Amino acid sequence: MIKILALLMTLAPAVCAGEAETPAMEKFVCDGNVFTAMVPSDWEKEEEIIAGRQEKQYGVDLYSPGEKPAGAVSLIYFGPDHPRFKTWEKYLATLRDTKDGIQGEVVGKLTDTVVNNRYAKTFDKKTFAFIPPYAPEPEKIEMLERYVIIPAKKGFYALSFKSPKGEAKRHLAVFEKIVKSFKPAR
Amino acid sequence: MKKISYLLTLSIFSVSLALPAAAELTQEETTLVAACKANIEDGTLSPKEAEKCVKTDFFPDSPLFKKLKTEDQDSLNYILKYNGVITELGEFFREKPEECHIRQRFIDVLDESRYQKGCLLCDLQMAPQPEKVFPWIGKYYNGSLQGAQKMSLTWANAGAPRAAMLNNFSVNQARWQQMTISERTAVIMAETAFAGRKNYPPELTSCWIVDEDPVSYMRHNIPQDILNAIEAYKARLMPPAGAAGGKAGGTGPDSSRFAAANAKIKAATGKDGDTLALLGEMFDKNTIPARKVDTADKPKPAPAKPPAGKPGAAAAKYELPVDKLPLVAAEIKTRMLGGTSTLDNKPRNPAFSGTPWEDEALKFYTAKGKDGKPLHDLNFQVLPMAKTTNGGYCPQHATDGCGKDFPAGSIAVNKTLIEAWMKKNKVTAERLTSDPKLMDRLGRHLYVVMVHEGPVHEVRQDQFYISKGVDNKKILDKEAMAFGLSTLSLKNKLNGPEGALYRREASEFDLKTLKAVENGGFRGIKEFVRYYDLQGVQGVGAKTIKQLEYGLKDMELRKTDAAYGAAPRDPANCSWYVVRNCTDEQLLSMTQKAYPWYETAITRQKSETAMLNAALEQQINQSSLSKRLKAKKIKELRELNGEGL
Repeated sequence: MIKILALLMTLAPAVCAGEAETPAMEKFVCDGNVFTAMVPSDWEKEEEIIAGRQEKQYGVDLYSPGEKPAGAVSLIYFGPDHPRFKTWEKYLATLRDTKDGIQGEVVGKLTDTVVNNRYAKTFDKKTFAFIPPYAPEPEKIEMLERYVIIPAKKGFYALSFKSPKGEAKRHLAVFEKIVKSFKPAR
Repeated sequence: MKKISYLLTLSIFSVSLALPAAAELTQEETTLVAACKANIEDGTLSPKEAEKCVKTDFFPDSPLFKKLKTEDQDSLNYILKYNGVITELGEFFREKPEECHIRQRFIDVLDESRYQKGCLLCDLQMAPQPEKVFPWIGKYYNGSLQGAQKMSLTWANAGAPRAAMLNNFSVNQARWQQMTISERTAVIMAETAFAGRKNYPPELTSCWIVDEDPVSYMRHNIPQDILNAIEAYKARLMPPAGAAGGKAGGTGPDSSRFAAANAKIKAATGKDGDTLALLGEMFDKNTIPARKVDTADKPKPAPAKPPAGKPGAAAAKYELPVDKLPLVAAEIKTRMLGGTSTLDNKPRNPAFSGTPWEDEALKFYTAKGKDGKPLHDLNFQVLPMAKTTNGGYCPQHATDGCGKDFPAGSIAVNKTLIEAWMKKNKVTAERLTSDPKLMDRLGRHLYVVMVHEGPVHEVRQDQFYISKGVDNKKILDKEAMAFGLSTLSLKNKLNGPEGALYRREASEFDLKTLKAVENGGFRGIKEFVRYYDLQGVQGVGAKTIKQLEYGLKDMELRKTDAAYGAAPRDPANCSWYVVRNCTDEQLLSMTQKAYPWYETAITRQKSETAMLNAALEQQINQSSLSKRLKAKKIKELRELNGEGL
């Protein structure tokens, strides 16, 4: 816990001051028009439309170009008819559940925040990625994740970020820019 | 964009295939059919419109799909295959792919299309040369155009800067633009050697696509006319046999380099090398990059992690000798299916149990015929495999197998995976093969991989497609299901009485995968496994329908065109790529499978998503149920003890 807070304190001034370079942005409109956001033009985008409609989980996954593991941002709306997560509290509890976690994972403190005049909850997590995946002896790469959960009148939004620790400062600046532009429609 | 040429192709066989006109379609339906056809016919090729056609208007469970299939299958074929391939390409560019990803995809969809009879993009005049697809990219995804051009090795980017040497190969701009990306790559490799450089240029190394040794690659990809010109050029440079040294021409390399290369080849093989062998010998082989695939982009390891084990005495201590592999495979199989261990002559319960897909697999693997022999035994072996995979399943249709000792219809676990576990737990091969408890632990460690490859890939997927009589094709959704279901099996074990034992042996990657499916369901796990660069279901579907039409066309030509000839050329080598080899019966069988595959795969994708989410829900409930039961039990005990009353 101490380590992750120290990491965030180190990152915060640079992000707030906008020192890190951020890429050109373009507008993204989610399937069903459930939200819009400005997203980096040169990041890869993956929108699961059919599966999303079926699972009542709409949105987009974004990946920084040319990097493995990439910096990644997910912007997801969970509909009120989502089969598992009827409330944002339940989803938050699942995200923060450390049972069967990986050794060394740390879930940070849950705090309040505001996104586009909406009340939201946020926390960070130190975790790991395994490269190559499904391999006998993968490299264990330290990752930083951040989650922002925005309750809506119906359903809720989950904005998340992950990045290799070494690249987190640069990618967090992009995530902050996306969050600032995020406009929920529900 | 040019008017397309496939109309002529269609007209050849449309008369005999045409079913009654679409008289029963409503006005609204007729408009939808016309719009989806027009998107192709008038050359608009809008990816948004195509997606609407394929994913909404003519999705297999839509009433219009069923109606048009009955009333006017030609139109349905036409709409699905062309709108399908445009949808697939649109989805690719919509994701803003990185530049190297574009080259890899172009190799798959443009270069490979040369060899395919069902080349949809060729019909649309968007393949096989990359220049043909640029106008479409410029129109719909202009932001990717520059990267696509660079990665396609266009004349401006890659040809013009070496025009002088290419001229020696009789290659000018016009000839260059007739070539595919693989051909351009091979010619640049030859040019590099002739120019006397030992390393390949950045145009190639920035995204290395050569997946075999350079000589073979050049041999397979340099067009014959250019190879002839290269031979002639080399003959001008190379002095008579026996001579060495001396300059040969202003633009060529020192001919002594040819002589030196030949001397090396002759020493190794006893024979003179041909031109391409000489060119291949001239490179510094240490500088040839690994093929640019995901796993090649190794990030920095976590600083805290100790360096990976080096070969040597310590590593050798935990090696599994080849003669022990059958014993280990047999013992692991016993732990998955149940039976008696030969190590202690005691019975083991089957690990494959407790979830619907494992119960189904156990029934499948243990079913016996009247003679008491298994009807479809679990063919399982431990093999040395690539270090990037834990295991694999070789599908039934791969009749030539999937490598040495890896026959069709069998599953394999990577020997290295077992050795990594041995190393971590300091277990030597001798101890492993003599201690039944250690073998039990290894079984629990391999359990997730075994479920992934056996119950899911073999039974739930391969056997499903076989039972439906359709092909089992590679698609990302199937891989997502294999990861999702195998980790839900692990979840089931963690919830059960042996939870602590399985938790002890679970790999961190398995736990991470489980978290992905718990947090995001099917969508979450599909995102997690995106590193598999497989074609999506829509693109595979479009190609399938095109192949169907090609088969129908060939059958029609056999009947109606005496000059075409009706006799099959080589039935033993019948495939979609050479349908002339096939008998009428083989072709009929192949064509009859195409539509069923499309309908089966698309609806399967939907039902599997629902199934995975339902199973996840069940596991989550089971987890909380056990907590409730535990709480109830504690309450009962307290009451019995007189506490809390």
